[in-house]
Amino acid sequence: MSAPAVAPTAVGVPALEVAGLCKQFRQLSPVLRRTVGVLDAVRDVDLQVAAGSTTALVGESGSGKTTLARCVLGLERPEAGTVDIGGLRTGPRTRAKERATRVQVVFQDPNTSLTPRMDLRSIVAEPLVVHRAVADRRELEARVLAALESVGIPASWSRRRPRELSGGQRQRVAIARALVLRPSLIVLDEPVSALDVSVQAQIIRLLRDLQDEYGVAYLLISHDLAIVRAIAHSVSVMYRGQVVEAGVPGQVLREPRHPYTQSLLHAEPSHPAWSLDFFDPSPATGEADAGRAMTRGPGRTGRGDDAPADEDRTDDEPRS
Amino acid sequence: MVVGQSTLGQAVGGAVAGAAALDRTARAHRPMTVLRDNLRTLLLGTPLAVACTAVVVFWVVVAVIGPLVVPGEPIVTDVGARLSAPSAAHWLGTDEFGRDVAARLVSGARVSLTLASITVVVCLVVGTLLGAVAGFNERLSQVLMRVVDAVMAIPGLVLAIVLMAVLGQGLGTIVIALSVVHIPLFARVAFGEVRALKELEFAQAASALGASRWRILTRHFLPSMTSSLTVQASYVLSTAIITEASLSFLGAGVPPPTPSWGAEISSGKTYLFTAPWMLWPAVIALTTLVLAVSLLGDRLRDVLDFRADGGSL
Amino acid sequence: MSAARPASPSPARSSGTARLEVRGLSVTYRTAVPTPAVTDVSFSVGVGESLAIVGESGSGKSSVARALGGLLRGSADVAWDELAIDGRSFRPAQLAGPSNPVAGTLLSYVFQEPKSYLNPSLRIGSQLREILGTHLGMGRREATAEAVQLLGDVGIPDGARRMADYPHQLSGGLAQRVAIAMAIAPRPVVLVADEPTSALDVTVAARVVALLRRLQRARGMSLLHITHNLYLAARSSDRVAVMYAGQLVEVGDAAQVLTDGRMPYTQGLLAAAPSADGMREMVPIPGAPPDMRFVGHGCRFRERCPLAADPCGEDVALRDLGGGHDVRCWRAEGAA
Repeated sequence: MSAPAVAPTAVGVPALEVAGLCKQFRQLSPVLRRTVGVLDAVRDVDLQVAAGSTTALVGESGSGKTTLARCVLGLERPEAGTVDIGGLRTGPRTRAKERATRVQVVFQDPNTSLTPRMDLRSIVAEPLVVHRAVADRRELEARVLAALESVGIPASWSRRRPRELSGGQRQRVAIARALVLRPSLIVLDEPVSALDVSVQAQIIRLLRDLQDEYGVAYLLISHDLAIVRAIAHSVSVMYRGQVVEAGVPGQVLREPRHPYTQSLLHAEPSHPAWSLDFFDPSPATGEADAGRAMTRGPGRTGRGDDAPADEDRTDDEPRS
Repeated sequence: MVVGQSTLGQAVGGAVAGAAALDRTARAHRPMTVLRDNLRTLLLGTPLAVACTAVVVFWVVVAVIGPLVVPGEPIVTDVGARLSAPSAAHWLGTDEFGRDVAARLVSGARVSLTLASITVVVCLVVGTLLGAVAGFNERLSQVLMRVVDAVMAIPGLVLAIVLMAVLGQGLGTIVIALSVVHIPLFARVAFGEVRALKELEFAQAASALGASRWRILTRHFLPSMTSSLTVQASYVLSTAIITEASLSFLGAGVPPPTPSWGAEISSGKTYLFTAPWMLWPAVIALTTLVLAVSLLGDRLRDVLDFRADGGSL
Repeated sequence: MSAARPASPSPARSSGTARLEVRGLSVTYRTAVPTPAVTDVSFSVGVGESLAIVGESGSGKSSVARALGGLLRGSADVAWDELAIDGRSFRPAQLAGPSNPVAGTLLSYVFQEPKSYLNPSLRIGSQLREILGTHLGMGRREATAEAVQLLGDVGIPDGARRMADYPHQLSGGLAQRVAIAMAIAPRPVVLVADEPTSALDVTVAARVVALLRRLQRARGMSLLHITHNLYLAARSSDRVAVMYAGQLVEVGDAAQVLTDGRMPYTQGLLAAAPSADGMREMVPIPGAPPDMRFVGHGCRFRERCPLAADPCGEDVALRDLGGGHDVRCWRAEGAA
């Protein structure tokens, strides 16, 4: 599905506004736990998600996209910068209920993101129960069943356990759980990459429909440019903790300016320009050169600390 | 070619289309079905399991209704009838104080089983809490688990004797002593499980939506921890019975004149040749019960391992 | 009925004799209710040719890969009519024991998560030397030199230094290259790669796939590439076989399958996969793959197929459409 032609007009307050976010991790020595290094996971990042629209964060492992998402969710405390969700400045002191009614999350792996021994009803009810968001049991049941129905899970299944569902169905339940408190923003962390191709499109479709129906905004984390193109109104490409390119998907993905974005596009097998030869260097020079050739080039900002990415460095962290 | 429709209705269709095939799978996983099947396999799966279950049931029944059924008094002494052989009046004879051996046996059953069960419950609750707290809190765990390790380093019976000496004899103190000895086992198991579980995505999801650690422990973790905790409980049950009997054997356990199998074995051994009916019933009782519980515990472990391979958490 | 003849049981196409020939492969897992994960699969891979087996979860593709090397002996019943590598036939029982005649010199594997199947407690130099010693009888000095050479072949220029590393010190892409080096060290005739790039970043994955192709051509090795990514398969392999619910449903040249896929499932996969330039709508396939324990007669895709009709209730055989293109659908002849 091509991205919607017109992004919904940003009426009023943006669903998410991140300004100048910085997050560092200290690397500790194994035994004495002394600081041996600092990792700049997120460096001075700005990001917006307009109300009711979808902004995608694209990058590979080590890009900082997951860390940024965790900062938005309040799971990490940034060193600097601000996070405003639905107009509310959030930080470590934000009360859980205030945060939970504004932003929720759907994780990547539906096989492990649902509590295995809880039935679907309890899983979806959990946010409501934890935050005491309902007046009585009847309202609880009603909202839980409504949430399940809206993602295509019939009410009769509410007593089943996650084990009895397929991957796509589990992800639907995870989406229902994220929706039940009616947040203005949902962080989707690679929501379909653990699913079969034939099911991915179902979930993407569902997400779009839910956005149309409830006006919820999405922050979509993905390494998959094609998924981004299908659902996002705006995209930011991250590399090594910084946003290297941002804009409308139609533009960015058709005429990428930054060499890293270009390399990402070319690496997609479904891209018309994909070719094995592009990645296969001549035997004489070896792999490393191909890596360098792709990331050097015009469009890089003049910051001196951007070291050329050789083969080793690109693969540094395990896949997030 | 496939033509798509962008409606929620198709979402429903998509989800339910696989329903028919999944229904049969789903029914096989219904909680009540699983529990019933599990129990049946566990208790009646093999001839040995049936025998063990029968033994345990027997002793439980004896403990519950025995004292009501058996004529004779466990505590009342009857000097005139001391050391008399089994008869109609005294089914298993009398001991050196003229007390009815059968009555003492069934009362002893009640004492042993009650003490051991209470110990298991106490250990389960306290040990799990301890282990869970340590599991959630990295820094605290350094201290707590070292204490646990230290306690585990002392041989159980020795520790129990020392505690009884310090606390004084009494049914309550026995429970305390036995519990202290066995709590570390539960703490270790709970610690390991909680530490592993909290890294899984569903735990992060629960914490991301704002659930407190207590809620995460009780609602999200405990159901997945039941198998390992149950196995541990079965193990502790049999060792608690033996430890209590050992304490009583040594005179440091159940205070006389309350009957206890251990005490009966201790006094019975003196009269091994003159009044064998004093010793053997208690020995057979203790041996059969502990063996049956242990074997069922092993079987529980095997059954749960098998399930663990086939299913998920 | 249709005029197409059923596919010949042994589709040995492309360049001359087949390096790997499989006929009638079936795998049934010994679960409480036996699970027939693979039903009557036949294919062949020629000299220096690469065949990709594409499927989603539950399609049986991984089971096919593992059955060939006897890796399923504890958990499944594996049977075949014919398994021949480099002209030599093997029976299932021969691959069932610890001294597997096929392992290493004839057939070698690369799996998805290199860090979970490389020995974490041995340096990679030791592991490489062990393989070279066991399969090629090399002494220590010779093996070390060969190992460094191998590391260079897989694109690790400072091989000599890397020999002393442990697997956990390597990044995902590097670890997979090392794993590939270990797999090709005994100079196998056939390399089976089971989702070798699924756990890697996109750019790294592309380079690993390119590496595999280069090695394959340089060594005249046949490659069996198992993947769930149809585009990747079609763009990097010579031939593609699509599996669904334990059966082969379409086999053909890569370009053929990509542009002229006749099986509705293949068409569905192509339509459902996102396209990088976003010019095409992502069209989902409704429903989910069947539970293999309870699958019955007839076409296994019919519950999700938009073109399903009465004849689909009968078992459907692979039909030969000519030019090396086989499809398991009675509608295959005629317009796509």
